[in-house]
Amino acid sequence: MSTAIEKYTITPEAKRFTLILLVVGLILTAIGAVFNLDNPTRIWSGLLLNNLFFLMLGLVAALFLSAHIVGYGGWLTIFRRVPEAMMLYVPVGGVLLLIILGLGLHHIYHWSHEELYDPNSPMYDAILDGKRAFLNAGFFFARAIGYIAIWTGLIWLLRRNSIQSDLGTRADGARLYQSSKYIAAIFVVVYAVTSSTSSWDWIMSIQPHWYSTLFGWYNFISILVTCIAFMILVLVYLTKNNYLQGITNEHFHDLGKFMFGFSVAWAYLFYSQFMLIWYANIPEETLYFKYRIDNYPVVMWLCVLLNFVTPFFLLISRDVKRDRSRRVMIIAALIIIFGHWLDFYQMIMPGAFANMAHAGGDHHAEAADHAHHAAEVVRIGLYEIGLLLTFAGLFVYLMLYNLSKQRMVPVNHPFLKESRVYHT
Amino acid sequence: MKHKYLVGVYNDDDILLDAVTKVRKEGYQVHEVFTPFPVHGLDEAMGLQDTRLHTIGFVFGAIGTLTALSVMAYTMAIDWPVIVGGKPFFSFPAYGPIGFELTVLFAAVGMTVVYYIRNGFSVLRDAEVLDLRITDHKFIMAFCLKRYHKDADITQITRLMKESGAEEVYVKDMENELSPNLFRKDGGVITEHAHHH
Repeated sequence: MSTAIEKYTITPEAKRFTLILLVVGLILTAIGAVFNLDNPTRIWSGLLLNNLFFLMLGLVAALFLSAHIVGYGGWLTIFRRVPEAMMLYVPVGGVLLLIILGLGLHHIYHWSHEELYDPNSPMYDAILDGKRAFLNAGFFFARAIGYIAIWTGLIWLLRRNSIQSDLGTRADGARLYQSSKYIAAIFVVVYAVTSSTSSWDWIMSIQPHWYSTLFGWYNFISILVTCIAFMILVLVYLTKNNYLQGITNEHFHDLGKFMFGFSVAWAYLFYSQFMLIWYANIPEETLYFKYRIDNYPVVMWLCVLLNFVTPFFLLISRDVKRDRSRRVMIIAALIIIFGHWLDFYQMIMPGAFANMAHAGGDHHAEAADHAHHAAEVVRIGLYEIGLLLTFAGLFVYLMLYNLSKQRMVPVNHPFLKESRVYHT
Repeated sequence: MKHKYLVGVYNDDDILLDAVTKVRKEGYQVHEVFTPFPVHGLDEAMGLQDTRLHTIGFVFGAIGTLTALSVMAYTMAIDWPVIVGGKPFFSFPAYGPIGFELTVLFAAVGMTVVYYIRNGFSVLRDAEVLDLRITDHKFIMAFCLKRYHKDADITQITRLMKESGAEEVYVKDMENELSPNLFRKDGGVITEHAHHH
């Protein structure tokens, strides 16, 4: 096996592809935004949804990498630069998120309205008043800045070690691997806590009365399987363009197993959350699913169909995962990425729109509320699709750009050989 | 009828893996390999056909799911409907856990039974072990000696095994045939020496 310098340059097709994503995405977003200027909730929650989706995608790529570093996982060494390039979206997405939260807070988060906490106001909300110690704008932003700063710091350290290992010798590679292990171990622990708390903050608090104890895990698995699917697409693209020729069927087989397994894990968490709430039938818990099943049944059940049923039957066969054309794997990966975007849509948008009628400044009586009911339900339109394409273009471009900054193969990594001779 | 086996004892899984490849390259079909732990890539090196056990597992699992769902639907919605917690008689979400359990149970038991039958194992009979050390620290390659194998073949295979790193090579008689049902990509035939072709 050669250890020649393999450097990636963004291929013309990839450039064209990201450019098309960005241009089409921006045009659709602009058209969609023009028609929704009177609906700031849609504008801001759409931005939140799409930026958060890709921010979490980058973040979970860092977890994928860290978990393998901590666990002496060597099989991915040959393509570890791909999750590495993905995780570098976190600082960009983090800053964008802070801007979105800063400007759109009142349009997305019902709890951010002051009158809810005034006992003399007709809008006074005793439950939210009880949660105020945790759920207030100051602490909310402090947490958000804290998460993003810590994530960015640890990711920067991991990236620095990775760059330095290419510059030195094999001995440097082993030493830097050892040092990365401490960073990765800290990151795994940090992620375990912050992935849950950040999803409470940014997603679950959209419907602040509702809570689910496994919401964090649910988000984590949802985005982890997206990450695996995304990596499969990137690796198919790279290998078809004669990069990373050391990647074998074994690597794809295992990624396929991951994609299958985590899809089942997602279904397990979806079902655990849904079934317990359905069974116990406590109003404050049921409202989340009741509202979605009544108003967004297609999105709700499409999530189950796209994220569990389809990948389950597409990927269950061993031959499919080892098929060199990768046709079914690509289809499954695309379905999974869209399906989990839809899952994030399902978690964020219905709650944000449900808030609109009730939120501060909008003092509708119950009857008027009811009349508004139909208008609250907003379907996926040009605006959301446009934003999805825009952020996908941004994410893909940044990833390819970061990929081109370094050698494709970490030549001094101690597990490189293990990765090359890897056998499932 | 006695079955005769030429047994090569190895000390290391990597050496064994190379040895299997080498012996097969010379035109001899390795009949069976025993290791104390699973060795990755061995099935490919031996030229074994992919197992069909997982297909059986899927079929049994599907039977389990359908059994669970139909029994629950019949008992709880048709035969003796009882209102539980105000839920509909046919409450699909509530059937999930039991459906899952029966899927796993049927698949596991079904696969085990099929595996035992296909391999000729029985609880009524003690297993015949080629060499007890395979349960601890040794790796064994077994070559099935048929009547048409000549002394020259035995000498040649013994030499191949020794050359590829076997610590010792000996002949052993067994009451039963080892793994008679292993499917080989090349049809399960114990091939003769290359120069016969």
